[in-house]
Amino acid sequence: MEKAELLVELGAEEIPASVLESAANQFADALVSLLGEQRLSSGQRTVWYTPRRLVVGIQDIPTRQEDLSETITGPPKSVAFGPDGNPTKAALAFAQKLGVPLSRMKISQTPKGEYLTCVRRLGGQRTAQLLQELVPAAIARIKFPKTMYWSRDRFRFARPLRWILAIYRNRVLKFRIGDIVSSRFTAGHRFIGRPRLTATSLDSLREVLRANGVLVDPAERLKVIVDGLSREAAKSGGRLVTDEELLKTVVNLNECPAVICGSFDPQFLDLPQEILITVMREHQKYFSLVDQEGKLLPFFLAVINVDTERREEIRKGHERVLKARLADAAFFWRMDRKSKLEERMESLRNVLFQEKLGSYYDKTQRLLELLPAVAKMADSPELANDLQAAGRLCKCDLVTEMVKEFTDLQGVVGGLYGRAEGYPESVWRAVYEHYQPKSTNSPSPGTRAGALLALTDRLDTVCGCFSIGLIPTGSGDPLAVRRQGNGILKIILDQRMRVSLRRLMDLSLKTYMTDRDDIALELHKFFEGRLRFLLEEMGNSYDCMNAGLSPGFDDPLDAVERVRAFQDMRKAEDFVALALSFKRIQNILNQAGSFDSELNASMLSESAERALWENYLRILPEVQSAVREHDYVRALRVMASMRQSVDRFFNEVLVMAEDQAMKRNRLLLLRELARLFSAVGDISEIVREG
Amino acid sequence: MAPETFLRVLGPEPYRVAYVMPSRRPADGRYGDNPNRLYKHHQYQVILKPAPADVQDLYLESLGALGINLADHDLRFEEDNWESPTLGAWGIGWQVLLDGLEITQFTYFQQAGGLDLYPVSSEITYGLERIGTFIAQVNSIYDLPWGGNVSYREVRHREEFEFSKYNFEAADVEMLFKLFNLFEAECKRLLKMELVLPAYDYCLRCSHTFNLLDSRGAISVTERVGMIGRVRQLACQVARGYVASREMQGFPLQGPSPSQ
Repeated sequence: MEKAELLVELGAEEIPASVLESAANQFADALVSLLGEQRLSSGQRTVWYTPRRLVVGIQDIPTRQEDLSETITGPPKSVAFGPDGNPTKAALAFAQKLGVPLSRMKISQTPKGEYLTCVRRLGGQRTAQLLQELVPAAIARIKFPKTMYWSRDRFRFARPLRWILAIYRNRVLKFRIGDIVSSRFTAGHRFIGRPRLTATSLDSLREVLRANGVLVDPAERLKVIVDGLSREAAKSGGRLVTDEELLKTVVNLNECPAVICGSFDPQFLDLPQEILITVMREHQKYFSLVDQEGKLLPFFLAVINVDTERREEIRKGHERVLKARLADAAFFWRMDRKSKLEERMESLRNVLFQEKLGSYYDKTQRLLELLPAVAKMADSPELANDLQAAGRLCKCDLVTEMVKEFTDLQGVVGGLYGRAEGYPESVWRAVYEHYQPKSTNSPSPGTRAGALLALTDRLDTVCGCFSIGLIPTGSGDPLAVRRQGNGILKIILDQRMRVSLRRLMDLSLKTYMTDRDDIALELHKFFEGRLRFLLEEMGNSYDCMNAGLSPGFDDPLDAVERVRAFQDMRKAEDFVALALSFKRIQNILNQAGSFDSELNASMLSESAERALWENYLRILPEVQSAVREHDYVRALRVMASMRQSVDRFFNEVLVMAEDQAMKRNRLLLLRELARLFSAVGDISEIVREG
Repeated sequence: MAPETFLRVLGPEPYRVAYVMPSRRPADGRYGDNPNRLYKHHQYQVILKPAPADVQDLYLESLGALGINLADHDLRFEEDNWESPTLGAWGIGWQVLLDGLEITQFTYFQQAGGLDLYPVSSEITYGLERIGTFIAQVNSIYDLPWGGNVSYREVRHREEFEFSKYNFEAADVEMLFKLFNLFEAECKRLLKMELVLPAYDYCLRCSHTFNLLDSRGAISVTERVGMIGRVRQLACQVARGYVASREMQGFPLQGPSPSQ
């Protein structure tokens, strides 16, 4: 069967950097999936993208569908043909239904006897013909967070589509989508390439684009950029400040990347490093350089979108822009410090936190009320004074010019201004850190005070939103409540705090004058969702989560310890065997119903049941002490050591004895075991692997 | 948003217009001290409706016509979606960066006055001071040659200073609140009389008064959301009224066969 390559390039106006990779991969996924639905296999797939194009190449697609052959069984021979050998009404009806003459059918031997059968063939269609429908369908499947329409036919995409190159078997695949008709034409770099180029294969596309200023493969662009960055860094005598996220972004902002090095006035180095780096990375997408001691150098590295010899002017242009921004930052730094942070508290009355929850002034008041109680709950009552001071200051930077301009620096700037004003480190650092963690992958506050302030701030936000019914849904979470919830749990876990979620929530809800049970219930569900999310991110499996969370999760650290214990023990053979036995025990107990009695040890007659009982008595205190110490792995391991006696019991002892008293006694024994095995969680949730 | 932009993008009639207009943002005032930031700057505003298929190329050619050789520069279209909640308007587009300097906002309008737009207009807003500093290679806007022997400083500096003082310190808040209410009432009255164009004038006055009050720090948190809503409501009523009035006139600019 002949096979051929499919090549599709979607040419568009600049697509946002953050959605490029996903869009290109979605396109490839859709093509492969739609091909599969048509029984067409596909080989290696190539996915490339630049801001102006999504390229997918798929190898080895058969040029024709396989013919489909199926056997359809009709009536049995005895029913299909009369004693004279002539076809009956049944046979004729079958033939008519299939539209196939009887002469083309035959009698086949089946396990049930001889039957009238018909073989039906569906001719395979030509792939090129199918692709004319499949490719537009695949394009329509690409999902973007935001789409727009631009032309008469109202076709929606991330940005206007302007051309489509579609080739199969080295020939143009012609179709139309929106107002665009596919062709073999593509376009080079806007300024250093030619606007009308041809390509009929993946490789020739890559080369013709390369010759026209476009590196279509993001891996190649990444290499050019990384090499350029290290080369320029070495030339400057400094070290590059790694920034993986910025790197990914600049790969997706350029078709023809080149790295230039510029400088700025060293006097700006008087400004704190955080501010300098933020100014450079956020607005301008520049990389920073540091010296051997880690101090910022007055240089920056910019990735530009054209590889030209005439870099001088470009560099000067970037330097001018950076100078203006740094001058702004220096201006703000000077002006802001003319007022003390505390003096800004009143202005917080004018900064809205949330329409129904009031201003940041109101929020601060709530925080000040909560902080002492949270500190006590977290066993850090000595931090109460520092926390009050930090609490007063922590939102004041929202009305500074610096934060109004560079919103990412909230908290950090407050901390830096606090330091400049002479507050003790414990106070200003708490302010500095209190917006951490920024995500589940980034660090939570390093100091205890910072962690408690961060926790309380988020608690106030989450409970506040729930109290007014602002519960995050799949489509809406404007105040990022889910992220705040994640942050709360991450802080509790990283700080190894033993706190009760319920008590924390109650504290916060009280400041909102709310004690409604339905809100508490919603919050409970919410935190369960967040905890599961985090546990999943930590690599825990679904069944271990269920097992560990079954006794509850009010103490999140404890809940995580249980889940982790199950995750650790999951592979141990003894443990898995025990889990199965536990299921069995549970089933027996469920069927037996409830009963009120005490086990009578003397009634245990068989040696297997006596051994089981003695084993149980022996390990019970060890399990209990392990649980008390939150050493759940040990508890499970000790439980698993009972495997032999449990197995032996089930092999040798009949639980449902004729003698009612003996039966009840054995059930009581099993009940004790069940209770023991439930000490860490619901073991029956653990499923066998594979 | 000047009437030629806000109103003309509404409805089905094609339109192509370009004009210079001053853009005033009281909160951006810096008393004339900042070399890059102005309370009032000038835009060359272009509306092409319907958006031509080659609108990006047209824009790039226009830069060439200004004497900028793009092959020697780092030009990028970076995602930036313009929106004006006060006017119920938003679009999808980019900021255009030239050697790191933002010189243009490039937008495909999707909605204005709360109405879906069809056909879609492309709006190109050139930042004239920005482009000027780029071409003249000066470090401060005030060093730009305005014309003849006159510098930007000589023409605009005093104005920046006095208006910053007014916006941040001197504006009479009570009077501004009263004006806001008066403008709002007049806008509604004119809408009832189906005088849409003068009504929009008053809607814009409300919007600017709001900006003045905001830069003065005079609007409380609870009031702010409400006030934005009030201006938005006016804008949406104006939009509907405008389309209705054009319809009554038979959409005169549409012509017998709509272009493109």
